[in-house]
Amino acid sequence: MKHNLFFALILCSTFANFAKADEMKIGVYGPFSGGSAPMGVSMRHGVEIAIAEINAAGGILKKQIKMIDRDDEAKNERGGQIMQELLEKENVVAVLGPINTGVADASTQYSNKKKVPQIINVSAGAKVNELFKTNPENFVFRIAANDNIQSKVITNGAVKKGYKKPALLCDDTNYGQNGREKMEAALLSLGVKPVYVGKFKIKDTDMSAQLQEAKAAGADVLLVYGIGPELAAVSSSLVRLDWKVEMIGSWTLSMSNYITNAGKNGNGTKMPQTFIESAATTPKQLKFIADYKKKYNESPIASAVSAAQGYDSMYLLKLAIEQAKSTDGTKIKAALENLTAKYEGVTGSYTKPFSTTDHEAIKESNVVLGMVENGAVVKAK
Amino acid sequence: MNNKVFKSFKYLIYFLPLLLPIFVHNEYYVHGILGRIIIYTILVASLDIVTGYIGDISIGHAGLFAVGAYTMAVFNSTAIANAGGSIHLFYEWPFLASLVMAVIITAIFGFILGFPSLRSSGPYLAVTTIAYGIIIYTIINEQENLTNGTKGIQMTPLKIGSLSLDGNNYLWVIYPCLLLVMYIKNNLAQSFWGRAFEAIKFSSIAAESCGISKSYFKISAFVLSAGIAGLAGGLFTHLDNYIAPNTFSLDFSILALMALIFGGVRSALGNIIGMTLVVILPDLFTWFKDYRLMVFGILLLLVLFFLPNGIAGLVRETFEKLFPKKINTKYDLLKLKNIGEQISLFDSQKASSVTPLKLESLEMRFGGLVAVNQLELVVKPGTIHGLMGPNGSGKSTTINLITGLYKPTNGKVIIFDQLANEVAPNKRAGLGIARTFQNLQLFSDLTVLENVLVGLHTHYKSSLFSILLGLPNVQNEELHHQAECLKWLEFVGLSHLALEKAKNLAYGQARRLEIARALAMRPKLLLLDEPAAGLTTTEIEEFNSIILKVKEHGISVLLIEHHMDMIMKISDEITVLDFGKKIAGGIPSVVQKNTLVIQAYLGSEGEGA
Amino acid sequence: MNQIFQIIVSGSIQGIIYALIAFGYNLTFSTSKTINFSLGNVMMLGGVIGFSLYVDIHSGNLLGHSYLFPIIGVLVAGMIAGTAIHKFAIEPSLKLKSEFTWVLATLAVGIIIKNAVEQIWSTGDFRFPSPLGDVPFRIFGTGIYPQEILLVVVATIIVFGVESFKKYTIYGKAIQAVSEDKETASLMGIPQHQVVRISFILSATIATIAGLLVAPLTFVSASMGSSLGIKAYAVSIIGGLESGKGLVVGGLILGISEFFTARYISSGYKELPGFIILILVILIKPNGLFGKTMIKKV
Repeated sequence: MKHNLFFALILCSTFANFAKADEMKIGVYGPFSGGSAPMGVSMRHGVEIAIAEINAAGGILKKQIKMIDRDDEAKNERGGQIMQELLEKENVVAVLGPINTGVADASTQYSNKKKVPQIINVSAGAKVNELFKTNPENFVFRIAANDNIQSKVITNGAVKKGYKKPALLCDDTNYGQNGREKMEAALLSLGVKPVYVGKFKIKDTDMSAQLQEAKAAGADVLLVYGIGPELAAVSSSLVRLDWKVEMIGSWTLSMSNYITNAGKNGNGTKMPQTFIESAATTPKQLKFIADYKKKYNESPIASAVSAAQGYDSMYLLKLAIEQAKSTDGTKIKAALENLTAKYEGVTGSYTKPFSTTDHEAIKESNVVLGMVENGAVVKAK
Repeated sequence: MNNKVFKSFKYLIYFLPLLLPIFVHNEYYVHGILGRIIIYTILVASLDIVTGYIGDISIGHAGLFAVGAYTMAVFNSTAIANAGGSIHLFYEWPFLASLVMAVIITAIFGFILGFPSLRSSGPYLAVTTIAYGIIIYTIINEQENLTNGTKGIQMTPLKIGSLSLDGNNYLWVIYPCLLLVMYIKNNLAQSFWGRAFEAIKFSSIAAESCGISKSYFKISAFVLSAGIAGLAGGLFTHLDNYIAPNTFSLDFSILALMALIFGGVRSALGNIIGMTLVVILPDLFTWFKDYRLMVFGILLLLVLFFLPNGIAGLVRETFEKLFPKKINTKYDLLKLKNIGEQISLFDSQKASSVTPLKLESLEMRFGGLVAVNQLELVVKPGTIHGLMGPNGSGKSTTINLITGLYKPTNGKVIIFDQLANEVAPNKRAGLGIARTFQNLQLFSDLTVLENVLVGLHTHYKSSLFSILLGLPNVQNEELHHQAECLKWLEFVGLSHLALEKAKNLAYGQARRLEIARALAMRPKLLLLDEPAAGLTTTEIEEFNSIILKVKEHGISVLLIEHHMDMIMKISDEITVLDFGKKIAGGIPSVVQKNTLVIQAYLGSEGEGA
Repeated sequence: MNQIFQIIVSGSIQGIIYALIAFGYNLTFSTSKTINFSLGNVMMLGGVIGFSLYVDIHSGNLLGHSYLFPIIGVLVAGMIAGTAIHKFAIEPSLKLKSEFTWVLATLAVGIIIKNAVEQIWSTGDFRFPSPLGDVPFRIFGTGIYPQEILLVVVATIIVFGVESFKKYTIYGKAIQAVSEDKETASLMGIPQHQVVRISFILSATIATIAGLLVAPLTFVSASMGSSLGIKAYAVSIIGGLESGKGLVVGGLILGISEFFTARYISSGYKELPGFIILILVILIKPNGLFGKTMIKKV
C-alpha cells in the first residue's frame, strides 16, 4: 500500500515536469517567507529582473530562461531537499542563492556532487573557498562580500578612527557568530582586543542588558553583526540608555528594515557596502533601481544589496554560459573561472571575478564604507 | 501451503525498497525524499509512543531528535571536516558505536522528560515539552565547545570499507532501521505493555488498580520514545552530512506532531503516510508559490475535522468496507476457544483461612471533616461482606482507603495479614485484591477482550526485551492469556461481544465487564463499589448470580452498596455506616431490624429502589 | 544599583506584555479547556492592522489621521478573529472530543494567519511610531518609553476590567459557571456554546489590543507573535491557568529572569532560567503556582 502510494506521488510529480527544449532552467532558492524573507524576496526580484531582460533580448544560447524558485524557509534541512530537487528533478543548469549561511552549508555539497555551478549571491558566511579542501573541483562561487572582507572593513574603519576599546554585539545565528569570530580575528591582527563580546537573539527588541554591560566595560565603539530589525533594536536601546557611541556593523545595516526602523537613531551608523542605492551613479544602477520600482512598487528596496547581487549573479552566469557555449556544468564552471568578457554590473564592474583557486567575486577593493544619513545610505565621510 | 508462500512473499515485499539504490540513480527521489521520509518517520513513530499510546502531547520531540543528532555528530565526526570550529576533541568513533551512543544518551534525556508527565497533563504537560525542547536548543546553540554552536557540525560521508553508504546507498542503513522500529513498535503495541500504556491513558486509576504502575510505564514510554527519537536523530546527521541547531526548533516539533495526527495515531501506516505528506507537500505545492503554508494549514484543518482518525483511519475504514471478512484477524476466537478448554478458572485462588481484610480503628480526616471514624471491619474468608450506608456515609472513602488512593490518617488496613497502609495502589493487586468502580472506569477504546487482558497484567512473565523482539514464547503466553480472558468473558456472559469496543457496550454489560476485568486479576478478595447502580431489576438478578458464583469458588467479596434489597439478599454479613461511623453490623436479618439502620435509611430517604 | 533598576523596569514591562497575552489564554481555557495556540499570531494581526491604519508602509511616515482609527480597527479585527477561530477551529474540535484536535487546529490557524499576513501585507519588519512619542524619559537614569507606561496602564485596566466583568455581571458569572462545571452549567440553562464563543471573542480582542500596544516597543512583522505567544503560554502555565494573580507573578518571573540572565550570565541563555522554573513549577505544583487542583471522583 505504502509503496503504491509513494510511486503514485512520484509519478504525479514527474508528470508535470517535461522540460521544453527551448528552455533553460535556473534554480533560485532562499527564504521567501519568515524573518529573513526581505533578503530572499529582494534577491529573487533582482534575479527576475535580470531574467526578464535576458529573455527579452533573446535568451541565452537562443534559449529562454526559466526560473525555478523554491522557498527554503531559512531551514537548513529544507535547503538540502530543495537542492536535490533542483538538481535531480528539475535538472537546472545552475543554481543561484541562498541567503542563510546554515542553509548554504547544508546544501552546497549537492552542487559539487552533481557538478552544477552555484553562485551564492547573498550569504556572507557560507563556505566557498574553504570547500576547495574537500572538493578540488569546486562548483560553488560567491558574489557577495564575505564575512572576512566585511570584518576587515568594519574593524579597519573603527581602528582608523582611533577607537581602542571595541565592544562586539552579534546575533546568535550562524551569520552573526561567524561575523563575530572573523571580527575578533581581524581585531587581533590590528592588535586590539574587544572589551566586551555579547549576543542577542532574533526578534529580541530590548538590548539594554547587553549594552549596559558593554558600557560598563568601557567600550568606545560598538561593532555589530546581525540583521536589520535586531540592529535597529540595538540603536533604540542605545537611546534608552542615553549612550552616544558610534556603531559600525554588517552590510545588513543598509537594509530598509534597519534604516526605517531605527529612524533618526540610526544616523551615523556605518557598514560595508557593495552597492549603495542612494549613491547610485552609473546608468546601469539607475536603470536597475527604476526597473525594480516599476516592477515591484517598492522604494527603497527592502534589501538593495541582495537585489543587486541577485541581478549581477544572473548576468555573470549568462556570460559564463555564453562563453562555454554549453549548459554543461563543468564547462560553465571553467568559463566562470576564466571569464573573458568584462561585466559592468550594478554592484561594480567585474573583470575576471573568479579564478581556479578563488571563487569570491567581491574583493576588499569592491567594498566601501557606507553610512546612514536621514533615511538613506551615503558614502561614509 | 499456498497461503504460506503468499505470506513469506508479503514479508519479502517489505525488503524490496532495499533494491532501489541499485536501480535508481536519481538522488532526489531516493536519498532526498525517501531518505528524509524514512528518518522523519522514525521520529514520528517515537512521538506516537508518547502521544498515541500514553496520550501525552509532546511538542518537544525536536529536542530529543537534536540530542540524538548531536551525539552522533560529536562521536562520529572528524576533526578534518570541522577545521576552524570550536570543538577540539573528536572521538571519531565508528558509525554503529556512535549510533548506539545516540540512542542511549537520548534515552537518558527521555527519562528526565518523563517526570513532569507523572503529575500533569494536557496544556500543562504540553508546555513543559515545549520548554524542554527550547532548553535543549539553547544549550546546543550556546555550548560551542561541545557542539560547535551555530556553525554546526560537518560530517564525512559514510563509508564502510570501500562501500560508500552516502547518497542513495544510505537507504541500506536507514531503511532496516525503519523496519526494526516499526517491528518493535508493533510488538510493543500488541503486548501487555501496549495495553498498559493505553490503560493509563483512559483511566490511570483503573490501570493502577489492575497492578499497573503509572510511573513505571509512563517513564518507560518516555525512555523508549526518546531512544527511538535518538536513533532518528543519529541517522539524520548523515543525511545532509551537516547539522546545525536551527533545524531543531519548535517548528520541527510541531511538524512531527502534525505528521502524526495527519497520518493517524497508533498506526505504522499512519506514521509513514503522515510524514510522507509533510515531506512531499512543499514540493508538490510549489505552484501555490508563497501561499503554500496557508494551503497546508487549511488542508490540516480539513483532515482534522473530516478524518479524525487521520489518513490511516480512512484507509483502514475503506479496507474494512471492501473486505469485511478480514476485520478481526487480530484475534482468532475459535482458536482461543480451543486453547481455553484446557484452562480452568479460579484454579490459583483456592480458599484459604487467612482473613482477607481487616480494618482496625480506621480514620480519615479531610481538614476538619472526619469522613471515616474509628471504623472496625473484618471480611471473613469465603464470605460476601456488605458495606452499606446512605449517601455521604463514608463508603467511598473506605474503599479508597482499602485500595490505597487515600492514606489513612489513623488506624490500620490489613490485607491478608499484611499491614497495607503504605502500599501503593498498584501494589495492592499483588496482595490479592481487585476492584470495580462506582463510576465506570473502562478503557473505552480497547476491545472488551483487551479490557480483560489488562486485568491479567500482573500475570505476564515475558521480559520487555523478548516482547520487543517478538519472540515465540511471548506469543504463546499472549495466546494463553487471551484464551483465559475469553473464558472470563464467558463467565460473565459477554463472550459474544469480545471484539466490540468497550465504549459501545450497554450500561449493564459495561458493569459486567468491570467484574470480568477484576476477576482476571485472579484476586482472593473482590471489592465491588456500588455495582448495581443504574441497573434494572433483572440485571441485578443476573448480577447476584455472578457474585454468588464467585463466592462458590472461595473468593471473598466486599460489596459496597446503596441498594438495600441486593445487599440483604446475598451478603453473609453486613456493616452499616453513617456519618463515617459504624452504626451496626452482623448478619442481614439482624441488621435489618436495627433501629439505627432504619433511622439512617428510612429517616433520611427511605429504601433505595 | 542604577543598572539593576533598569533591568527590573525592562524585565517587568516585558513581563506585563507576556501577562497580557497570557490573560487571553486564561479566558478561553477556563471555558473550553483548550489553549488557543494561534493567539500569538492574533496579537500580531492586531499590530499589523493597527500599523496599516496609522502608518504609511512605504515611507514609515504617519498617515495623519487620529489614533482612534487603529483602535477601532484593532477591536473589530479582534472580534472577527475570535469569532472565526471559534467557528473554524474550536467548535469542530470540541465536537470531536479528541485530546489533540484543538492543539493542531489552533496551530494550523496560526500558520494560516501568519502566512496570509506575510503574503497580503509584507514579510518585512516595520517601526510603529508611538502616539506618545519615541523619546524616553528618565527616572534615576533609567530610560522608560511613554508607550511602556501606556501599556502597563491599559493592561491593568483590561485585567481588572475583565475580572470584574467576570465577577459582577451575569455574563461573567456564566463564564465562571461554565469553567467550574460544564454539565451543571448547561443544566442550569447557561448557553455553554455561547459562553465559549464570547470568551474567544474577548480573548482575541485582548490579543489584538496587546498587539497594538506592543507594536511600538517591538517591530511590526508577521513573525512578531511567534515567540511572544509561546512565552505568554509559559507564563499562564507558571501562574496556573485559571488565576489572574498567577499571570502577573508568572509574567514578572519570566520577564525579569530574562533580563537578569542577559545582563549577568549571557544573553544566549536568557530564556533558560524562565523555562527551567516552568518545569520545576510543573514538577512541584502540576497545576501551576496558583492553580486549583482538580479532584477526580472515582
